[in-house]
Amino acid sequence: MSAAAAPSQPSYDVAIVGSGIVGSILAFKLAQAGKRVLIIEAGVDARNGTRAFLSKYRLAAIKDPESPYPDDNVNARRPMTHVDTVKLRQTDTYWYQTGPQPFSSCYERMAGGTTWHWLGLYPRMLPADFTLRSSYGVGLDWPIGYADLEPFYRESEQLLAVAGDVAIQDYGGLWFAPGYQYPMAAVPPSYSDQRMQARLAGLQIFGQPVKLTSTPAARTTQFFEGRRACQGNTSCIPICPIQAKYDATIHLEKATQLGAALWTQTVVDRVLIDDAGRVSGLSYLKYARPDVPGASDRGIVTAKVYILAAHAIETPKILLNSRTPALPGGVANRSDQVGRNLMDHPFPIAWGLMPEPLYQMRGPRMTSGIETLRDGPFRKERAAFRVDIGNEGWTWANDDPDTSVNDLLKQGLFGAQFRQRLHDIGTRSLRIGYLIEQLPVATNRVTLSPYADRLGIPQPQIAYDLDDYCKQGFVAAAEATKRLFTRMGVEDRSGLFYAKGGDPGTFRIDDKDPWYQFFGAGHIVGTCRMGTDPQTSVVDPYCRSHDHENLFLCGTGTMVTVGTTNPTNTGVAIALRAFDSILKSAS
Amino acid sequence: MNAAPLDQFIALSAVLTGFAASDIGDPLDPDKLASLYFGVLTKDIDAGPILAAFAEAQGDSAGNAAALVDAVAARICKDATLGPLARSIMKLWYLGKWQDAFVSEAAYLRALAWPAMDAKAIGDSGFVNQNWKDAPAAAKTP
Repeated sequence: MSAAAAPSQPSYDVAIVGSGIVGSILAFKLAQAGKRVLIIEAGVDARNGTRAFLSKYRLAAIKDPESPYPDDNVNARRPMTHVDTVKLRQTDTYWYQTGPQPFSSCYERMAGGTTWHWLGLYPRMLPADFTLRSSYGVGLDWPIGYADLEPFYRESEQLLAVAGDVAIQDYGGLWFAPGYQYPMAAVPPSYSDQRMQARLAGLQIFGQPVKLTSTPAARTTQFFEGRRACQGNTSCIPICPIQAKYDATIHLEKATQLGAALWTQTVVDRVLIDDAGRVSGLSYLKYARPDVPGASDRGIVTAKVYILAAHAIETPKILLNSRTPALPGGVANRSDQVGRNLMDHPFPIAWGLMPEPLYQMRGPRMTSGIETLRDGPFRKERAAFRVDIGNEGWTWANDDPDTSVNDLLKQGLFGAQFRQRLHDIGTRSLRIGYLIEQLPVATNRVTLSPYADRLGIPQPQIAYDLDDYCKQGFVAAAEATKRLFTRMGVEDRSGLFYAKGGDPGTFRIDDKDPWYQFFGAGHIVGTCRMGTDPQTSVVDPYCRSHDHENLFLCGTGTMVTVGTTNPTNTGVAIALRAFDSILKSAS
Repeated sequence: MNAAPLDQFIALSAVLTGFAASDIGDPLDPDKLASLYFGVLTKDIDAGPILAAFAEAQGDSAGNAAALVDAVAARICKDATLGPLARSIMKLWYLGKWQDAFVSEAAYLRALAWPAMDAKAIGDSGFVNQNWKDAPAAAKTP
């Protein structure tokens, strides 16, 4: 291939940028419909990598989300947990963060995308999440409602063979089509969940009953298409050793078997627009080796329809980098909203010791959550949240078993006494966390940094902060933690989110103690939001660019608000709702 | 006599970890962790002094298990030189780590911290369903 002029006849019906969950599912459905599909992936083809990744993970001293995956790709770097997500104004990072708070989530750039390291939870948003402005006077309403998306939530859950139970999701006005059942039986709540629930029975917080319920998950609970049922490896983040947790290589594989072409190690740097305002091609750079900097080839690929499904940070990066004299703000950016309204779920955690053994570290990383605090009139005043109940003991929260082992060694313990103390801590340890809602804010924003990657493409720049509405959610979460811990008799070991000032991701309210600390949830949302008004939104409710008729932006970037829900199901459902429009445009 | 230092290392490890020598010794261990750890240790450090101190502790205690624990505490764990080495040996067994790095994949998976917590390594199920909805069948205090 060369940089020669694009051929007059498009090579493909549809070119999709990104082989993550949204790109791979759309590629599968388009290939099924007989379309000529090309999937372009910036990273390496990792489809057969599980065994090697698992070894790398097990040997990693720090078992963070990227730890199993290749570190040597200098041409398509991805953000790293202990570097990019905590450092402000540092140039050794992949992205450049201007703050004032660090954006603390990360993603993968490789075939299959971030579903390699996701947790696999697959809940739906609540009806009120789509009407925040009209229901509570905050944020924005979506141009579509829960009812518009409900059939596509179903399709999304069927495609992933999601395990869940309709009957227990009787909160927050959530509803399902009559007779609907999830493809698989729900993931059984852990012994720990059950013991916690037994102690919480009858408790109300903020006027809502507190109940742990099994969270819908893209995790097999029975043998399915060659995949074993989940066996409780507890490493869902960052890698399922047996692919019981769905990852997008499943649909990527199905798409390529149906004839879709996959180009890996190919980074799209620009979307090209012709005089009529249509996309005329994608400019790309290929690299021969991930560990040798620089492009080995460059070119332009053409299709009838183009889909960017490269996540809510890489997609706006490509659009902004596509600026021309005619489009000085970049492609699809008449509204100046591309890259804005970046959202996540700031995630504070608390941990402690239960008065009785919980025997965690045997099931999936999370089996149950508390869903009843996700909606209510309080949303006029402060952020709602979903409570995430860990099954991983203190392995994440306290870097156990290392920290507890070292603490006990410092106490001079050894032998049976040491073993007894470690047993006592390890069997009683628990961790809870809060997915705190964040409203769309124009200044929380992805732009282009002054720094280029090894292919010469500008690296992303991120400005991020938490607003007062979100911070008040932390105050409520701290209150909820006190109520939960007191009721269960939990001995708090975390200081209830209260951190030392100056640590990354910490803040006070009105300059008064305590300090609150948050982590990222990996729920990257909002930078290409949908709407009916081309002046205030990037895509229409079917993910089509307001500005360029043959360009679709698909994924969680199109979400108007983030609610309190792990967003993948919603991102996929939105893309499935766009499918007919994409298909029609490609015909 | 060649096997003796390894046997002594296993006997010392049993006292330090609180796991029986028969649970951590080599004969039926496909990963040969005891040999692996003894090799890692002696590559960097002369194990002579700690094994000599352990032999003296054995002599002090004359076959009495509780007395052996006391003697190991006095002669090894509270010793300024041997104490830190004993704690490094415990980290080998409990975490699978030597100088803050995992010795091998098996060392991580079979670190004694996991059974000590009635759990199994994060990232492993041994292809056995963990039946997480019930308390573990093996749950018992040591």
